Amino acid sequence: MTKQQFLSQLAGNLISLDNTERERILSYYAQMIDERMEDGMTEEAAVQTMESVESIAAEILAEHPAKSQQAVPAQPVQKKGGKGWIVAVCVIVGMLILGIVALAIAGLSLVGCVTNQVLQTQGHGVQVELAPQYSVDAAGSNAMFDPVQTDALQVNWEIGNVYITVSDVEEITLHEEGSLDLDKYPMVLRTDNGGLTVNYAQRTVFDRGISLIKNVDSKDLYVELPADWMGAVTVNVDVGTVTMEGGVLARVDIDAALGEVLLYNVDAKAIRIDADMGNVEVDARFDSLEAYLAAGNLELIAQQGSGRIEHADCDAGEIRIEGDFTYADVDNDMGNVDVVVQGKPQAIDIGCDMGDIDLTLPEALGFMMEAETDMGNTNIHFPVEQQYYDDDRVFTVGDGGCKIELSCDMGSIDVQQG
Amino acid sequence: MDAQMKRGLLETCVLATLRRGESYGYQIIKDLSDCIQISESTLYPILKRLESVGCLYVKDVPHNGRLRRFYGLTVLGEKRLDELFDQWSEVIRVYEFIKKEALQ
Repeated sequence: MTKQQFLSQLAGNLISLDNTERERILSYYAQMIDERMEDGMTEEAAVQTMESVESIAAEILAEHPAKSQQAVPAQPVQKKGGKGWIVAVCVIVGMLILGIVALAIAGLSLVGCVTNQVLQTQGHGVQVELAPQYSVDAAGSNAMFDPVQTDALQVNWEIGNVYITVSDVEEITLHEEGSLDLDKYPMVLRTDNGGLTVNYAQRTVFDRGISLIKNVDSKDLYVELPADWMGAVTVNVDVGTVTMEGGVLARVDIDAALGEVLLYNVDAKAIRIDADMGNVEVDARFDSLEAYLAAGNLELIAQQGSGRIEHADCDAGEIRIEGDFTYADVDNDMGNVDVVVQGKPQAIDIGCDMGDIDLTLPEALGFMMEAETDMGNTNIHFPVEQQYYDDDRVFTVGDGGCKIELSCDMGSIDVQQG
Repeated sequence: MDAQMKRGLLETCVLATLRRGESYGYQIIKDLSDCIQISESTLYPILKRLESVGCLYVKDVPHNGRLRRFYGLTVLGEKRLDELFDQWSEVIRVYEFIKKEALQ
């Protein structure tokens, strides 16, 4: 059997499912066959090793209770004989027309209360799903969906937890009106094709977080959080800039494939940024920070009271760090490193394969420094009280409290007083 | 193994294997095969359920001229895994009890 035959048969067995779910299942099994073929099997062998179409369909259908049983309300029992069947037909036709009208209206604008049910609306390529786990409280809910604007979606709600999947929309704006209880469920926002804007007007304290996932797009992602927000934010973006402003966060985790990452006035226990292409700008207070950049510049301002810069790694690009931190481990393969220290760090370790290191230290800082460059000059413009030029070129200033290691393969080292 | 028990275990296994990083269906099955056998049609509803409750996110990544669907842990997924993991110490205590009683 070919892959196509297998999938057609499977589709035939899943005819009772809705199109979206059926397509999803078919794509899942198509991928399984593709993976086997990539492992070296022939198409036929790959299909051969799959479970039978019938057993797959049986297993899937067992997970999906027949829709007709759920959706159609019990019909009143008609008296036998007479013209009951005509009445029944009229009732059903009437209900169908009403249903179609209702759907048409819903397609334009849907404002209403939702209780423990899945609201799924499709129109202009927009799909909003409120899964039952994230049901909106009937008393205070207001789920508004306006697909008339084909390129924008706005969802307002007051009470309840929401899970939203948007498959094709230019922009989503989510605005929290009241106290959204995210203690039980964090919010997951996902868009396959669109920008994502999240505004939190006010926030009660909670320890869960939000995940923002954006798959393919040229639009940007923007998150604005109030000052008292406590939670974790995970962001995954393939294309587009990630901007985050404000918020007191347990953890920020950002993966950006293409595009910049901009973090302003964020206060977080831990920040981790992974950027493949594009610059990263961070102006934040943090307990620990890790930033990995493949191509692009890193500009980091560590606000007062910041902790450890565990890793600031660039493959190619400039690194500039300024501010108050206790520890920094900086690595740049290609490009310069410029660090301006304002606080009293315990240790600084800077490695630069190709590029210069510029380090500015506060006047009052005592340190013990090891500085070496294979090709380039080492200039210490610092009023060193004690200065030893031995093989390791160790310079000690003041109490020697801060341990500094600077190493360059190709480039100069310049240390000056701030 | 009892079907219900296996299902619960599989869910934990899937979450655990994704903690290492994003993965796709076929790879997940391969990764789990060392400890537990799982078929495609068993995995599908597990992934779907975990996604619908917000434990997983999915993304389609171009690969060899087609799309490969990756699954990854969300914040909630990580918390869920931690919770399930914590429950294990309890399970082990119960197991020790059963073993002791049953073997008497």
